Amino acid sequence: MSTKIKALVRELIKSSVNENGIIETSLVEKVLSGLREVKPPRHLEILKSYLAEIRKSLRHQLVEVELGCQPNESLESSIMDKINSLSSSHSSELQVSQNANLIAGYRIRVVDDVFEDSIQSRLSKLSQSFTA
Amino acid sequence: MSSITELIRKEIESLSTDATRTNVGTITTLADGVARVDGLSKVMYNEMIEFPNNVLGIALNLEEDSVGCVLLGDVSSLKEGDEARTTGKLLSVPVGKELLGRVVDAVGRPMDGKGAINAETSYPVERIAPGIIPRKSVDQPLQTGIMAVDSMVPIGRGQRELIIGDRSTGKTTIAIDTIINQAKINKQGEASGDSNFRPVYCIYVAVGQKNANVARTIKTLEASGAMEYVTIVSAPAADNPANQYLAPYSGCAMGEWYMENGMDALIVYDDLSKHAVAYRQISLILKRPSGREAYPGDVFYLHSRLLERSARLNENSGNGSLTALPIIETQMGDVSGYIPTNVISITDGQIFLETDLFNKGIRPAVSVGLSVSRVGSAAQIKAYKKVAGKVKLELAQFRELAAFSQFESDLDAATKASLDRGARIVELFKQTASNPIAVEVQTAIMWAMQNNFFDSIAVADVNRATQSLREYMETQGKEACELIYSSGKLEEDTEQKLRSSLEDWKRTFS
Repeated sequence: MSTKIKALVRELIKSSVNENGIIETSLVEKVLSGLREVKPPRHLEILKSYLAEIRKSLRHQLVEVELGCQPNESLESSIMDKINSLSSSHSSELQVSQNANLIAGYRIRVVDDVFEDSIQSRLSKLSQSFTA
Repeated sequence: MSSITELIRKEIESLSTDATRTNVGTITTLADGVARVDGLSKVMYNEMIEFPNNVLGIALNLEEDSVGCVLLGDVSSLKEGDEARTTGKLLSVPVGKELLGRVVDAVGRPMDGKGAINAETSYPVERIAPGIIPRKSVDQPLQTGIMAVDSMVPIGRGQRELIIGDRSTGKTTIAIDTIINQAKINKQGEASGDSNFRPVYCIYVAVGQKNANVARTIKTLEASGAMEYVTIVSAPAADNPANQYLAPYSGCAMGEWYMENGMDALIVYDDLSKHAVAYRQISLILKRPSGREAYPGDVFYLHSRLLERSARLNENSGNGSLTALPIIETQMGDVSGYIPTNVISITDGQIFLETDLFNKGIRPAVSVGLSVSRVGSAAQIKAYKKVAGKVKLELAQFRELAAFSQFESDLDAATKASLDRGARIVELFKQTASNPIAVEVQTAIMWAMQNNFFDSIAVADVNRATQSLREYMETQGKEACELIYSSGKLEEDTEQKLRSSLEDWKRTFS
């Protein structure tokens, strides 16, 4: 990817986020329609790079929480409070799901950091200590 | 039964149950043993990366938005989208005497079916070479048992001596013979009960070789009883390039353990040409900019950081040593190739093997003109230095005169004498594989040559005479040899004994 395209994509990303730093669908639609009108050279390459960057940014504002038990509202809100108190950005979106493989406990993914305390992780640690 | 449950109970008790924090990423592309991973924002250079199904990788390319990892192991189980996690550890291999007699892969896993290796220590594969302060000059010989090498290009403990030549010129044979000779000396030294005796442990690293060749090497070492002092690190041609790239560093880590614990070790890298090719393959897949012959810009550093790890440490640092014998294969005898010149400039000398000499039956096919040891006679015992001092010059003169004498019909007496002597030295140095000669016997043979004992023997019979003299010195002439071995010098009374033994032998030789 050329530096020109990189710089352009960076500008497009800036135009796609609101004042809280969150990517908004309406802003993305605006950017896309603008691109359609202008039809810059290497249009397809720009779109592909834009897509990759949007995906990355979406991942950055998403907090994935997997629980061994059935999630409930109070649990979700307490997790969200804790995450917001830990993280400097207040633009996190919470995605809570149940993962039966954990057996019990939790697994939280914030960007590329994973915080985990589950029966599954303890068992795998135990098995590693025996096979190492 | 109770002890087993107790063991498991203890393991559970000692297990940390705190929440863990790991840095993860996702595989975006996967090709030719290299994975590109999105994420892993906290990864370190050369850190071990854990993939699903116990596949490990090493982070080699840290880019702005992705990480390039070389994969070790079966990559067929991985797919795009799989999770990769950092481990916070550098790749380590088991080290220690538990590895002696074993054949392991590039990450130190046993390949010989002899069970697990219960090594207590492990060393990281990549380590910084010893600096200037803990080092010492090379001054102790490492006998190869090959007369042509020990007399003309002596190798010392802690030296890096390159073995270079075209394919099928006997490069591996020289390395294997050296290992066999170390085992022979080790056994002799251990049997003598000498408390000051320092055995040399050996590591043979096979990179990009056919499995059949590695199997043959193992068989040769086993047949000669040398395997008990040897560790073989094998990354054959069928292995992925990541393992071929890692194997020399793993072997080096195993050798460093001996060096750092006050022992002596010898490591053979067979061969670094293939190692460079494996690294080129990895670099091209990682999309690193390529330079001359498509090798990446840091191909010099690839070999310099490996070979600099071989050293002789001083007394304050344990007095250990790691001697390296890297092997390089040339194309059509061209020593000016990219990789050969790189490794020549890194090492402390080279043994150049010529195809022409090999085909003429002069084996080992050591080229006198192009072979050199920068350590020189500092790595020879005094007795040997005395008898072998002039031999390289005599042989070099012979090769030059022999080329000119083809055009001359009438030669003067001095030239004829020089040619005659040279032809005898060439015959004297002919030696079969896996047949190392002890240094004291070599000294006796060289002394005989210097004192004209071979002059009355026809050139065609010199090799036979050398064999006969060797047998004689190992049996009847043992007394003189023992004197050389114990003192390391050629004193007057030793020379007297040597002379009388040689006269005895001369009378019996027909």
